[in-house]
Amino acid sequence: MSVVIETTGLTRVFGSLRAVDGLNLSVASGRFFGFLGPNGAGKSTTIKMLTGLLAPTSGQMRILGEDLADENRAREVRRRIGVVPENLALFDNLTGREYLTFIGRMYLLPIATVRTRCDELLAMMGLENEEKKLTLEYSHGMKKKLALAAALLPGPELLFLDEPFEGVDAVSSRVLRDVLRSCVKRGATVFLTSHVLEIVEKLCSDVGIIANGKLVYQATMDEVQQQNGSLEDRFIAAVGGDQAGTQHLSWLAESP
Amino acid sequence: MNWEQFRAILWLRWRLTRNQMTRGSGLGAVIAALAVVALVLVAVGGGVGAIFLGAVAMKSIPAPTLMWVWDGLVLVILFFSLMGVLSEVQRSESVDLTRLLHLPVSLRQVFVFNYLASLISFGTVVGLAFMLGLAVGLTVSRGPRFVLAMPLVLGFVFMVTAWIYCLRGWLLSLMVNPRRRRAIAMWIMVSIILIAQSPQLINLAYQRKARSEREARRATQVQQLLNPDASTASATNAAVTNSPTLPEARPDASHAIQIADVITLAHPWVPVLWLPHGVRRLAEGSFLPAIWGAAGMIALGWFGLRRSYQTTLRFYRAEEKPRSTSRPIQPAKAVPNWVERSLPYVPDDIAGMALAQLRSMTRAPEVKMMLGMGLFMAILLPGMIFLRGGVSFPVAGKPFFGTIAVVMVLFALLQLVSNQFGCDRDGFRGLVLLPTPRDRLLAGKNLALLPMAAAVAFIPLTGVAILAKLPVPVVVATLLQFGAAFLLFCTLGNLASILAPYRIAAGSLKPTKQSWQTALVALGAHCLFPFVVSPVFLPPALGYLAQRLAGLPAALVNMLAAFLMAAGFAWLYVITLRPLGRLLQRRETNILRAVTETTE
Ligand SMILES: Nc1ncnc2c1ncn2[C@@H]1O[C@H](COP(=O)(O)OP(=O)(O)OP(=O)(O)O)[C@@H](O)[C@H]1O
Ligand SMILES: [Mg+2]
Repeated sequence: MSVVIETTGLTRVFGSLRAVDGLNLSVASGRFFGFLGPNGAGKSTTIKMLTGLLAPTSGQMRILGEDLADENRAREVRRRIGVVPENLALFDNLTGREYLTFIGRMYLLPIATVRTRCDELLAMMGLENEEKKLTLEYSHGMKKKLALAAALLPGPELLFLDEPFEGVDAVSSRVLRDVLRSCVKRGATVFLTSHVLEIVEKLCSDVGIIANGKLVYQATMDEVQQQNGSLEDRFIAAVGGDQAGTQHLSWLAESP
Repeated sequence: MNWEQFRAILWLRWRLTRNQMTRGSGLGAVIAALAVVALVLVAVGGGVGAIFLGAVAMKSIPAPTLMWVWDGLVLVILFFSLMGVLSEVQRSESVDLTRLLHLPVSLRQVFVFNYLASLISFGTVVGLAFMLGLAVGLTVSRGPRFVLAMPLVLGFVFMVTAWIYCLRGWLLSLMVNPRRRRAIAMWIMVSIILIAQSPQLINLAYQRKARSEREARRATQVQQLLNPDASTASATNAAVTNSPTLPEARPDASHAIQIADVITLAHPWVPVLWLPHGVRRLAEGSFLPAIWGAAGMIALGWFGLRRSYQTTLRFYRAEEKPRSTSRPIQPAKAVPNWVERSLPYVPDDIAGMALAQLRSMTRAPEVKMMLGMGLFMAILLPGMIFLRGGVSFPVAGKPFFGTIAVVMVLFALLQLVSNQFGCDRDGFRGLVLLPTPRDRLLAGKNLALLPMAAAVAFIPLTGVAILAKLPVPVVVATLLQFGAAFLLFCTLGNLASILAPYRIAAGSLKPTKQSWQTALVALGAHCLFPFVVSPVFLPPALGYLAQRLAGLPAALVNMLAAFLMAAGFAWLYVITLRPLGRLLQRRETNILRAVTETTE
């Protein structure tokens, strides 16, 4: 089994803050990787660096066997990956279908293929009745679903999804989970971040936990389950969350 | 709401203004404190200065002049208030009622206190201080009846602030819909430009009038020089028959007086002018207009606030009148999808980029505005040249007119091409994620601009061709020059877009946060443009020289030279596209940071 994501000493500094601090990560092909961590831990920053949206301060990255230090290689790698970045990447003034068509054409897919895939994806995401709306007018969840559709459109080998389920309704979320599972089944790799541990527990085959920019835990789901305890317990143990929050605010327990 | 809550709201407003000014840098507090000190100093200084002005300088000026002075003050205050509210709404970071409604306060209280807080603005504070000072000064110099000017001033400020507040609330409520928001943001920008230019325009009109008067006078003098012996009667006679400007000159002077009369007469009927009117009547000795004016303005202000409150109430209770926009949801009909089309001879990814870009631009209000202004400039300036030159411009100069129109159109559109990625906003992230070679992205974006620029250039070029009766070869040459200039325009724009991208506010082309370096590069690109495109003047110049020196047909030489030049620049464009693409690829993460991040 080949390694599709590999980083060594990956670091990103913002001013005096080390948002990602010497990250060594390796994800094998065909895995469903859940990348977890508290708010501000550095998950989105990591995904941005892995997808070429943000230059790392130091460290190496290899995606699908290619070294990202070479810009042309890095660009070619993008043909094989799909990304839902943190703040999405939509054009305000296009409709959903136009945006998907644009993405399909830029990946040099034949027009007939683009058309059928657009139909399927829009129907799957429940966006087929929003043909006249510009993405500017989409709701938060609709934007996310359109971005997901765009990431899936070229049929990528590797998917980077930054909180794909956040803001997405239950029906679409179910559909999306099925789609992602079938992607993995046909050999693709999925790398996602999420704060909903139930979803991660159900979907992922591997988890990594990052806190303060450092990888503090990595295991397969089977290992997590063998260590009897839920993923939540593992998570809290790994990021060192204490019970401080529950002890204070005593005034909230009093009757008003 | 109690005093504590009011203080909290005031504090919030102050923080927002402060952060706005300084974006929270360490120097922020100092600068903001200095700004407050400056405001107080200016207000106090203005007030004291106005007292002296009123007490000394205005002691004995005639009543009408006094009215004109107050008219000027009114204009200045209206100007600043309008500019203030427009720029505030445009930022839309103001203390908007929605952000306060989750607090335990009633809508009415929030409304009233928010209005009171809105009074604390530069224009209002300084304007009020100055006008009150002037009223005090007039009381000192011209007698106690000028005490009545104070309620007039207060009534005026109340009325203006109330209606401005009403306008602000209305604009904010319109801007809830994102699509409408952009359109409104655009119109606000146009209004700001127009309002800011209005003193200029007035000045221009005044100068023109002055010039025509001067010319008229000169014409009279010339007449007198020509027949010095003639009697006055015959001189006038000759002037009437020979000089077409003179008969207009006399009515022109009386015209100004007439206008002044009309304006004076209009004063009682225009509420914002009740203040100057009241002051004039006070100077003439009658009290009633001042009292009535003050009462009327307070009543009107009260009415404005009430209206605004009712609109707000309706709005927050979602009782907005059903508009035509909220038609029943129709089953989705297939919208023609431009982006699917293929373009002849154009590779698939370039075509995709070009079509998506074109589709986006045709929907962006800021682009429409740019095109409108470009068209305006391209029609207005050559039009003025034609009108000035009349029919007698030199024949040899004709071919240049088309070229000038071409350069002007492109210059007006330069802002569109010199920050192409800033215009994409979040969309640029999508471009970075694409596997497409970057030179193809640039080519696609440039291709999308071609129909836009051509559409804008079409009207002035047709106009020039018809008015100047350009021969066909010259028209062809002009089109070729347009092509050549367009390629230069794109190359320069690409370079500027890559080197100095900046973030722009949604629905406008205005930079939200621009470092001085990028501002400098953007300015440099604008300054450089005339030099960069100057070679397009070569073909008509060559044609002219060939005719003068060798007797060759100018039009044909022009056309041939234009063809060669267009081919040369096309070649240049193609060979520079690759390196530009590489540069873009190297800088794309930096560009992304610049165009999407609010903080740095
Ligand atoms: N452009 C930036 N400039 C400065 N600091 C940044 C920038 N982007 C991220 N950071 C900081 O880097 C840290 C990591 O941010 P990141 O967005 O990666 O967190 P995250 O794990 O995705 O959090 P969340 O779960 O809330 O999405 C945070 O402390 C954040 O403030
Ligand atoms: Mg994140």
